[in-house]
Amino acid sequence: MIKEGKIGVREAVSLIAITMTNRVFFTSPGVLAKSLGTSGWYMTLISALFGAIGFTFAYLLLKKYPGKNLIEIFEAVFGRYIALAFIILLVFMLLSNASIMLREFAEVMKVYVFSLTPITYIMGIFILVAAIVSILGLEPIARFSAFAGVILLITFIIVLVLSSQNYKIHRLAPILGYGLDRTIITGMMRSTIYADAIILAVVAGSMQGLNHIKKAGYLSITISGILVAMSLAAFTLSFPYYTAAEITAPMYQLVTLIDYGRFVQRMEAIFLFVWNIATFISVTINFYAAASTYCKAFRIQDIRPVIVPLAILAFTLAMIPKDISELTFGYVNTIRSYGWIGFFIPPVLALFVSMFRKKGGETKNA
Amino acid sequence: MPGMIKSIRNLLAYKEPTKAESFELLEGTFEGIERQDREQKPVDVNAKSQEEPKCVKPPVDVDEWNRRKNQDHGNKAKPDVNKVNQSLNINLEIIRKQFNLPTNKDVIIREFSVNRDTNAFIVYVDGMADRMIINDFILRQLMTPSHFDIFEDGCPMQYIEKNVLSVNDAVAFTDFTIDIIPRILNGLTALFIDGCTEALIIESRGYEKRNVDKPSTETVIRGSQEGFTENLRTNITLVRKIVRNKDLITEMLPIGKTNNLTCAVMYLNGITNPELVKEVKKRIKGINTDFIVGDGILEQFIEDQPFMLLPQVINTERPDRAATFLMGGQVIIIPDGSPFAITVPVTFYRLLYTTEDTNVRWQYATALRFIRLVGLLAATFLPGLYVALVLYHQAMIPTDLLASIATARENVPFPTVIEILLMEISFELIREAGIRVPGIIGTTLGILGALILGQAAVAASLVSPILIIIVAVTGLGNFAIPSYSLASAVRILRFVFIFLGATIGFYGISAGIFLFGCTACSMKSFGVPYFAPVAPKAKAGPLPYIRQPIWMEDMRDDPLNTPNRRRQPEISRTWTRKRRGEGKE
Repeated sequence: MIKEGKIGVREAVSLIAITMTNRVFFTSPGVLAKSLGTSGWYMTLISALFGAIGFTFAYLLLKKYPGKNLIEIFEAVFGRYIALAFIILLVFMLLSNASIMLREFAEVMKVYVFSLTPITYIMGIFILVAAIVSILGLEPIARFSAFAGVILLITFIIVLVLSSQNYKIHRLAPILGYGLDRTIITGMMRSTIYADAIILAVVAGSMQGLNHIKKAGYLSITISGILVAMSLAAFTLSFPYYTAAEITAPMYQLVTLIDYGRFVQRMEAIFLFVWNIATFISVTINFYAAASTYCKAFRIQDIRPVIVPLAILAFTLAMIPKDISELTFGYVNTIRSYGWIGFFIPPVLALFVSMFRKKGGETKNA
Repeated sequence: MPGMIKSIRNLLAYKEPTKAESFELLEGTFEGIERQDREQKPVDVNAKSQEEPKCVKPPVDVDEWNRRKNQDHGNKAKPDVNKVNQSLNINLEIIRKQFNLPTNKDVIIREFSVNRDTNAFIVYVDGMADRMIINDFILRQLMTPSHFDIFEDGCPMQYIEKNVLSVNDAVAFTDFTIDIIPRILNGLTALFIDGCTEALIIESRGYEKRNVDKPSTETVIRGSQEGFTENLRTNITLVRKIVRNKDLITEMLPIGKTNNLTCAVMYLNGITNPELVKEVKKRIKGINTDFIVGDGILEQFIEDQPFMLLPQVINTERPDRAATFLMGGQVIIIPDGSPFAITVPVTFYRLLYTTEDTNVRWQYATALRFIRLVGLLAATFLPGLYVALVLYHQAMIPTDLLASIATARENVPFPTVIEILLMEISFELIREAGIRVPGIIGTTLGILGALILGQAAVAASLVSPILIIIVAVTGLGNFAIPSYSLASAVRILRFVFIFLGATIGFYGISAGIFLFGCTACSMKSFGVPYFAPVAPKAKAGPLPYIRQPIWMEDMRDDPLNTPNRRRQPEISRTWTRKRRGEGKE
């Protein structure tokens, strides 16, 4: 088994909350404005609720098999070969998450910051850094998240407060957007962004007990739910929903509008660091979780040989979309809307099968 | 060529990870008792010292003495060259051979007769031993017959030790390699007497040493003005003068197989985690090298990650700072011949603290710590950020500032990155040259060099004036860092961030921060995570940079897992309680 080290609740919360919240910096708010109008900011709370329900199944599964991580539980419940299918699906989901986030980041960077830089250059540097850090293991990534988390949170809140000069309360109307039913269904579908809590089940061995996993999972979903809702609300308050739908990275656009006199303006320099570091953390943890799951599934003792091939795979996956439109409305939308199936359904199935199997076993014993 | 191919193959081929033994200072049986009222196991230092092997040989009765003597005669054919022989001539020959006499001129052998009838000799290193002690308190005593009035017969070694020599320390040893020769090299005098199977090692150290002076690298306005010297004994005394506690343990360990130096490992029994002490001793004992001089070499042999840029120990030349570390549960290592003590383990935040922080009021100390933090950040990132801003992110600069920068750069023929490298390298040259140039000229060179070079460079339109400000602020920030090792690491990192900023702007700098941050977070210093108590979170005050009022600092640092965490009771200013009580009455 690979050595992953130990992480505490604070580190886990920072890690997962940053990963979940990071999506708000990219194209998703614009897509939400297009599909839901003005109701995106509370839709995410519905997503968080469904995300928490999904995590509950994973938690109950971990509770049923104390001391085991999700991969070991899958093997115990389904047997090695069927479990392998589920594990490979999980690896694919985590790697896709990392790749799509990587491409999304690179595209937005190209649009706003490095218009002349080749996208492969931006992505190449990114994947190289993510691969090196993944070799260091979970512990340093989690510790860095805890270290950077507070700074990122404070900067994020400052940005939201400074943007208040552009807020117009009437832009929240119509409060129900394109209809409550649509908001709830979309909320349920887009619970994928809160599915990152499943990573806690993958690295359960590094957490100090089930209580810590439970606390970290629910706390990170709550914190990121509130932060995402706040930023979506800020974005809705700043732009009319029909304009918002056209913006590639609404949060970045929001920051560029900050203007308090001759000097306090163009805060994107500060925001850029928040955005970059949060994305580095998010992509790296998804990439690391994919590598870790793969190693656990195939009983590989050392993560290093897996990192380079997976990095090449992640880079290749990220290069598949032709352009930003295909990425945003095709890949990103699909994985955000249907990704929860890959993340939440296998633990739910495992839970039911384990209940059934246990019952059968008891009957047999009786 | 084959070597190169092998190197490339080694680089690319997969290798099993080496299972290096790692040390973690975990919470365990030694974890702190946080409440004073809980039962605390008394630590008996005397009991420990009794367990230590005694250097003094127990007295031997006459029968036993004769038996050993006969046994030795039986084995006469093969004298053990490591043990002191009964025959004085054999001992003399061994000493001559070991010290390469007569080629070696500074080892003195003085032959004489004890009590005018027993042949003997003393050995010492000229210059290391005090001649006055040898002449007045060793030779004179041994050569005066009246001192042997009550001596009866046999080996007179014990008699001499108890009745003749008037020196403060004398211990008998039998082994040449382990005990006798290292001590002679250390400045002690060895006495060999014919018919005795042991040599008496007499304290006679008296070499030249520097007086206690002001610390030159850690000056403070408020606080002690004493600094360590090159003499180990003096340094230990300076620490003991501050920590007058019976539980302060000083263990001497040999370092350097050929130069035979010793280092003192100091810790407070009952406060320092015993696992930490064990680990420190294990690492020092595990050094197998011929030559160690000074704390710098020793530090490199015992640190956890030699390839990391950040320092993993704190070096101090202040006895009061060393005493503070001891009281905090850390271990102090003082090598002989070095005016610096090494402190382990260390966390990143500790590197930004100074002795003055505890000597001034908490508000001032907190402000000073923040200034140092700003200095650290400026020294690391400012040039890199400037390069990134000018080369890639002009749109992010407020218009007025952009206009100023553009005007200043109008006549400069170089790209920004060349411009900044030019100035940074010049600054580093001035700094390095200032250290090499002796005395007062060094300081003058620093000021003049910076002023003249900067002004001339601006006048010649080689660099923009704004860049001079950037480089100057960076330099000042670097000097504000209290730890020399950390400041050196920052000097290197600055160039890395300039390169990253020039390569791909803020994105490159962010990548550098993430990569370097994660690498630093993976570091441990003697089992303690480098960024504790923030990452991982440990019980601590509000923020590592905020110094609490001294009466609120009740606990020792949690990451050190000390057996006794409490420094003082919750109410350390008991007079406040009394006053309230009086008010009620």
